[in-house]
Amino acid sequence: MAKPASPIVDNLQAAAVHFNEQGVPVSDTFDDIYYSNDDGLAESSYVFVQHNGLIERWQNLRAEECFVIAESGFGSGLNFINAWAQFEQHAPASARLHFVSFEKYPLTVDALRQALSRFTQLAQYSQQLVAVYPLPVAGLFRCRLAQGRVTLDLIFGDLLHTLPRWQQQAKASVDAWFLDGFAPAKNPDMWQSSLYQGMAVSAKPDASFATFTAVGAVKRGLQAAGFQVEKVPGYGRKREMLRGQLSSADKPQQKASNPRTPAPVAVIGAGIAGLNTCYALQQRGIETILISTAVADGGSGNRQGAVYPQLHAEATPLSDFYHAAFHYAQHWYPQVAADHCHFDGLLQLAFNPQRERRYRAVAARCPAALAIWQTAAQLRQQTGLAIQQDGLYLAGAGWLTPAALLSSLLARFRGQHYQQTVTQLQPCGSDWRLSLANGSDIVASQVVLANAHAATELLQPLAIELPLRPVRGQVTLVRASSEATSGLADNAKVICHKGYLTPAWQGVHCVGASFVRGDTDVSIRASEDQQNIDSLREQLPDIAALEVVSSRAAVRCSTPDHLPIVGALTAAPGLFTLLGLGSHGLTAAPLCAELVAAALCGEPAPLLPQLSERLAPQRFAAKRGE
Amino acid sequence: MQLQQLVDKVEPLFDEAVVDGDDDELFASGYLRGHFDLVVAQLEMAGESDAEKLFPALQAAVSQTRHELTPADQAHIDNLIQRLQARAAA
Ligand SMILES: Cc1cc2nc3c(=O)[nH]c(=O)nc-3n(C[C@H](O)[C@H](O)[C@H](O)COP(=O)(O)OP(=O)(O)OC[C@H]3O[C@@H](n4cnc5c(N)ncnc54)[C@H](O)[C@@H]3O)c2cc1C
Ligand SMILES: C[S@@+](CC[C@H](N)C(=O)[O-])C[C@H]1O[C@@H](n2cnc3c(N)ncnc32)[C@H](O)[C@@H]1O
Repeated sequence: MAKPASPIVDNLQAAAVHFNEQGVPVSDTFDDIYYSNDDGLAESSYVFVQHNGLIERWQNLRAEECFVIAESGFGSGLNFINAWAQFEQHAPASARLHFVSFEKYPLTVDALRQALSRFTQLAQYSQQLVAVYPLPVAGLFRCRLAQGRVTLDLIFGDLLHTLPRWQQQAKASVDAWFLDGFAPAKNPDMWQSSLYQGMAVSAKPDASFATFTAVGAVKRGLQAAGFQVEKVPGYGRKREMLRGQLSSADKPQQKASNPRTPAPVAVIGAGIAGLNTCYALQQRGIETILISTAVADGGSGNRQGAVYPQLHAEATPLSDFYHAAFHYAQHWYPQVAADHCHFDGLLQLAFNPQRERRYRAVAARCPAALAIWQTAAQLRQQTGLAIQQDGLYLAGAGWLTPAALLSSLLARFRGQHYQQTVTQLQPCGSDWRLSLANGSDIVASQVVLANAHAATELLQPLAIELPLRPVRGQVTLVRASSEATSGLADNAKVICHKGYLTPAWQGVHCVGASFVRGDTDVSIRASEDQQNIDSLREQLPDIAALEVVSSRAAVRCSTPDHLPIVGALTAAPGLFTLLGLGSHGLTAAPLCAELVAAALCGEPAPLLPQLSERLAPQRFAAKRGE
Repeated sequence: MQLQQLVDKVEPLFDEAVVDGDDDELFASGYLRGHFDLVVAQLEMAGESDAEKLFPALQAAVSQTRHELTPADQAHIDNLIQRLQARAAA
């Protein structure tokens, strides 16, 4: 049974399906087909594309406009890839498609591949979908497709739980609803008034809907929720179907969604947070100015860094967030900066009994594609190194080269970049004035603070306090004295224990990292190099002698609950934060940047509210008085 | 005791508690851990470094959402809070 407090832990069941003689997937649970036996693709086009009037609406999109479709029942993703393919054909090149789909029983990736394989004309789309398709874990998973032109949000879980939550952050944002599903007679549970209400709340005033069914109860439910409903001939042998739109007259006035933001937006900070934000805003066609004291000078300037999710065995906000963020990062980096990432596996050694218990429990609960438990012997085989501990192995995780990645992101940034320090932030009418250290000013409609713990100084005069805690860290760059014989040269996997060891890049490994709370000094300390190497030697006593090549110290910006601080500052309209990335900024930043961009543009958010609220700057103000 | 010390002391219990947890126990642990992290953050923000405040604040946070839980879940959560308190006192 679902737990009301946290639908994230809905027990997710994979779809039970078989393929019939025509090769169409059939649900064993519902005894119904996923798409028409005759011609699934033609039916999808007829019912959902044609009866939502999509071709004409897409042809009329403005440059850079985003068209939002929501769907009940993702199934095989046929409706999605069909809509995507036709969107590419008809919409202006700069317009974007955002497709949100709800699914209670996800198909396995193999079943999905098989279900789509017969649509050879759409093969290039199916392949891309298969490559980013999330693991069967409850929650919202954002997938980036077509170089970011297409966004797919897959929401795994019963839509009767997830839709009422999702709609809170997606009010008046949907242009067209695809009301799909198994036949109402076969799956009456799904066809409930809360579905129709969710459709209405999330629909733009002029939104349309279409559905393959013409059942009376569905028609009445849609009408009761505020839709004008029309019966039209159904596809093939089906007599009738329903289509229609929201009757805006009946609809309480809602704020215009997708407001075009008056340019420009200012982003402060050129670390992984700031440059990801610039990227997300640029993708949305928003004029952006970047202001930073330097580039890759802070925590993000390291030579190598690990990318992996922090997992708990239980569904905690931390674990759920990192899983969602990792899913996004895992595809984002290779798509945007393939040269800079090496996702060849990562292991987390069980270096004490608590870790052992946690990692074992994580492995027992997680899909194997995310994390598995391995014995020391297996880990030795994975790495060729004399590992003594059992541990968790994450096949899809790995490392990247943050400093090089940032240069590459900056090179692609088309906005203005001021290498300056912001000394003050002041409201200026409905805009914000940023004073720079060189005496000049910049006026911006919105400002994203992505300057890590230095944000404290800018927020203080505005009477905004956030618990940003500086934590000094130093990494030690080493060369193995006998690289060839030590086995280090052949290992491609990151090894995490209390610290971490990266595979060699250009002959040099990164050994991390010290952890000194409250210290903002970034001078190099021989003692911390020693600590880093000693802690590694505890795990790998047989390792070759290591020659220290250089060291780098920087300051992490952490928070008391280990989650980043991302979203709008309600006390200062127009200010947004992407702060507090702690020790896992590389994993968290791409999804956090999407969250900021969505908030700024009024688009559906990449997290369900129970998580985005846990990242919101307001969360630290305790509710008092009950 | 300082708040941070207390947190460092009791936090490992969450990982220990999940070893042979069934689904319900895991749910309780995840639920409580979420509240725990946030309560610690809120206390810190309120300038509270006194460890004494932790458990009352945790109780208060949990009781605000109690209505969302089944009696069985409530029992698991209460049990876990007691174990955290015992660890704190040890
Ligand atoms: C030793 C060490 C090892 C780490 N290892 C890893 C790892 O393996 N994996 C991982 O994911 N994370 C790791 N981290 C954490 C990671 O580095 C951070 O989470 C991440 O870099 C934070 O990025 P950021 O963009 O928020 O901040 P930063 O990279 O610190 O960037 C802040 C930016 O703001 C600018 N700035 C500050 N104040 C102003 C101002 N007033 N005006 C204009 N600009 C300003 C700075 O110039 C800088 O460009 C490590 C951190 C350290 C210290
Ligand atoms: C006919 S199929 C959808 C076909 C799909 N649109 C396609 O293009 O392949 C119906 C889908 O609805 C899903 N479903 C059923 N009940 C649901 C619920 N309560 N919440 C979310 N999805 C549900 C089923 O698992 C199934 O994948």
